[in-house]
Amino acid sequence: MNEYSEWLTGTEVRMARDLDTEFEARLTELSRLAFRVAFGVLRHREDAEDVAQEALTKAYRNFERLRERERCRAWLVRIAWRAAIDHQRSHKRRTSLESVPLETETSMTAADVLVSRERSLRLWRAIDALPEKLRIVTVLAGIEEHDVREVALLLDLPEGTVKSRLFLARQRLRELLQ
Amino acid sequence: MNDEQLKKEIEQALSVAPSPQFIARVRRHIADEPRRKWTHVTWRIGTAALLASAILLGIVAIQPREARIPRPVAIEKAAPGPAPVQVVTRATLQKPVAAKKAKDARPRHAEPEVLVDPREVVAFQSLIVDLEERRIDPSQLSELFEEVEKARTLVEVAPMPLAGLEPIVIRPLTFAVPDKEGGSL
Repeated sequence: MNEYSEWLTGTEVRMARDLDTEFEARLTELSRLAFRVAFGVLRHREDAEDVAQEALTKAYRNFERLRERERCRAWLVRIAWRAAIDHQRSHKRRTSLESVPLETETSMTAADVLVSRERSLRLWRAIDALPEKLRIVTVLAGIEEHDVREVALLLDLPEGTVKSRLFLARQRLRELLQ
Repeated sequence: MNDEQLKKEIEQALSVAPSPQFIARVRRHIADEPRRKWTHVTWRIGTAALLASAILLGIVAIQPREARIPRPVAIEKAAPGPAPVQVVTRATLQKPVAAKKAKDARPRHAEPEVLVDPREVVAFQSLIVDLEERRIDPSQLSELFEEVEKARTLVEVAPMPLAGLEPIVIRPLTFAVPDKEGGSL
């Protein structure tokens, strides 16, 4: 019986170590994805980091059944999105000019920065006004390296559905931004 | 604003990077997580082991048990006498024994013991005592046994075949007609 328990413990340790190694290897990619999804809802860096950290911790706990890449990414997107929505509702933080970070170029003047911020704010308000189904495809498609196929995989939707929702979302955004 | 311009604006709005400490913070947070519990794995293994044990026990339990050999009945002495309590078998009956040897406890024979009615045992013991004291002639015993065997065969009647039985005929009752009218019954 002692030999059996030792064998079992050794197996458990090996399995845990393998999972940790695998998760660590994918942490950079997953953390960037979780953060951007959370930021797409919250538009506040610190809040987005907190929400993304929670989502990544949950992904770590469930990584045993999320080892397949697409499955893990899709699961993480859903968790991060849902957590960000809940956080937004619970905190009801208003999006202000100061809270919208902006990657500015060094050549931009202060006026340019202000204009950029204003445009971003309007854009975000328009995105917030979209229905949730259109909003999520807009945010995911806006993240770099995500084409229609990738978005379809993340949301577990047919590509045609993603295309039609993107089309509708952009149409409505144009109306709101005019 | 066309689709391409809108897409670029959205991408620019989302191209915010997390702080440089973000990934390090996530690693620290995960490192503080409790160790992975494989209880579901050990639980499955334990359950499988329990099931296997239960199946084995069930197989063993439903195996037909061997018929128990009943122990010989402890016989009390019916009459005061030197004969000790002992198990009587056919083998011992067929051999007339000396009185002293009969008193000693007999070693068990290799053949299986047979349960004997205590009254029969008493009768056999009496027989043995009579034989020892020469009240009964042993040579007459064999004739006696033969007659007993014959009596058994006489008792055993072979069943008659049904075809040999005569059918039972029930004749209707007939009453004599009285000569006079209104005759008495």
